[in-house]
Amino acid sequence: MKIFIPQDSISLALGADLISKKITQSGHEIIRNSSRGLHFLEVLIEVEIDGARHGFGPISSKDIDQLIANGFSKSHSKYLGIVDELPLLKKQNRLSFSRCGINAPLDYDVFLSLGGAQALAKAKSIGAQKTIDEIKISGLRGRGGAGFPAAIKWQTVKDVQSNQKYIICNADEGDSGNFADRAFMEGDPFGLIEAMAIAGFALGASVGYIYIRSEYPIAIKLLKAAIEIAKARGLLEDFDLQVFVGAGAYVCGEETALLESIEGKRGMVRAKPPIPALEGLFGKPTLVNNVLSFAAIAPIILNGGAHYAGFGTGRSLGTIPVQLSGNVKNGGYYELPFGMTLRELIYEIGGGVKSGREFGAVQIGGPLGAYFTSENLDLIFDYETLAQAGGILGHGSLVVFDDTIDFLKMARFAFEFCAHESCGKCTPCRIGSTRGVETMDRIIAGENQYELVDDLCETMKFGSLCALGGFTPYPVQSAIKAWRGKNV
Amino acid sequence: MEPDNKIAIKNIIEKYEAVQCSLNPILHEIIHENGIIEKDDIEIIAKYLNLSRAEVWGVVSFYSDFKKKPQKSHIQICCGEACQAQGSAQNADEYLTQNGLVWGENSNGVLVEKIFCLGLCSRGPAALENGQLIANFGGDE
Repeated sequence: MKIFIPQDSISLALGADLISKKITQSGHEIIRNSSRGLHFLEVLIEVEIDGARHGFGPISSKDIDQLIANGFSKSHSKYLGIVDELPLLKKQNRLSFSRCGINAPLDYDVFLSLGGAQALAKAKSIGAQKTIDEIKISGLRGRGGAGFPAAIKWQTVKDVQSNQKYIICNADEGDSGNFADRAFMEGDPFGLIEAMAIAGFALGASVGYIYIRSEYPIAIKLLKAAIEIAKARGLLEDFDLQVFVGAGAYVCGEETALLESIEGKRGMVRAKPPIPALEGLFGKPTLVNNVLSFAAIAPIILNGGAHYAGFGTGRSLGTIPVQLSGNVKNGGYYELPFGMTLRELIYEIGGGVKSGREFGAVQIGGPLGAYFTSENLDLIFDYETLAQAGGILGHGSLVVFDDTIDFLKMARFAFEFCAHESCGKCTPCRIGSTRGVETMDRIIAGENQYELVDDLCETMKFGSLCALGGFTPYPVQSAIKAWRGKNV
Repeated sequence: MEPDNKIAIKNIIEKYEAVQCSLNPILHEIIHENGIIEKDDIEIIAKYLNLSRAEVWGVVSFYSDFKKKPQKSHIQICCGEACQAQGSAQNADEYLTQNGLVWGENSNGVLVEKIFCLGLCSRGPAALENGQLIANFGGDE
């Protein structure tokens, strides 16, 4: 009997190592996979019987002795059925995350058996331009938050002449509510390496960096180990790839601050132009893509861009791992095509509000995203719809709050977060954020200072160099609007 | 500072001699080995990397990872929105009261800090205690 116990960050934080130790002592063969994304069921133990994997979860270290004594019987109260048949897995279109959670992330033979390395081989056979053409057809947009067409970036870097180009993966995922980068790196590290190697081939770049935030020690460890294995197994033939560890600065998720950081400087945002695709790391042409953008590359190359573009809606094509967290029952990530409504995502996928109270609000797209209230739940989850509704899709996260949400406190928090993380380069962000905290304090104390906050938000929105200062008005103004809608 | 320690820092720097972009990795390793970056270290690093002391100090002071002081115990409690939605503020207060701690430095050498996002949002509130990730922090599971 083969038993799978995940060893991603969530499972480890829930005691998976202790569970694994106890099952090992009971004499079973153990494989440490990663989470499939149904985090609310973690630690999810899978037992392989006659080729099918049966799930038990959520298992805590308190349950495990009883589960072992019970012999992993289907009559156990935590028995979930065959994992592949779980409705929340079956509903998904796992193109990017197809390998995540299946097996040990560092088992290269498993990677090969699940289609790994084939996209790189195909890219090399069809050539650099056709590789980029497939991405163009797929309609893939940068998944880091900006939603810029990926193929244009790739083409720009390819077309510029230079003796040195760089491929950089932005894995500085610091937005609260966002964890799909981590999940992909912990679930399929070879998949990320393969996609970056494809970019290196297509763009003529020989050096790559994966910039991972230091808050992700497990992803760092896995990627470093995976790079060594990939080198030994021939996945990284003409491409020198290394992990660069961040140092606790949120703003380094902004691509130009990230470049400064790798160069060994303070992570201060650069003014654009020049764009990094032309003058990036050390002034050389540089492709900076988010983990999730790279995660989409192999399925696009393997199945063709048209297949990928067959998912999604409007100009938001393909799939995105929707990340549900906060006060929601089924916390986790779910790879789904764009086009579902917020209601479907929160209730059908997420199972509704965890506390059992009324729904209060959902913040979409991270700390710089807007709050939406119950009258917005029929909005479609895609780039354009959310932008028109005064928000952002960002990195694909939904953080659910129940009706105890204190909107003014959340508006204040958005300013506070901005003040804490501002790199200090531009005045609207550096000073505006602190003035914002002070003004919110006065509003909370009962003063009518809404006009002043709006004025400040206007300045930050249009005067800031990057999205940190520029997007802080989204949560601030949407939260104030929600509060005033209820109270004024 | 002890002379032995200075040699250790030179050893760390020399390991990265052939590496492009070596300042951050060097600082990470010094923090890992010694728990703190001292003023003397900055001078040594600056000399080796052919930078000014101001440039090195600028980097050290910018990143929160490099500002650490040696401490007996380090607890970081996530206060991102997703953890707030799951009651992180209340759980943190209860935890601090129960353990006789306050935010910031405590007289018994324990440092309690806010952190923004550990990526465990789907099973928050999250915390990091001396490098150990904790999900459902202060919850009853």
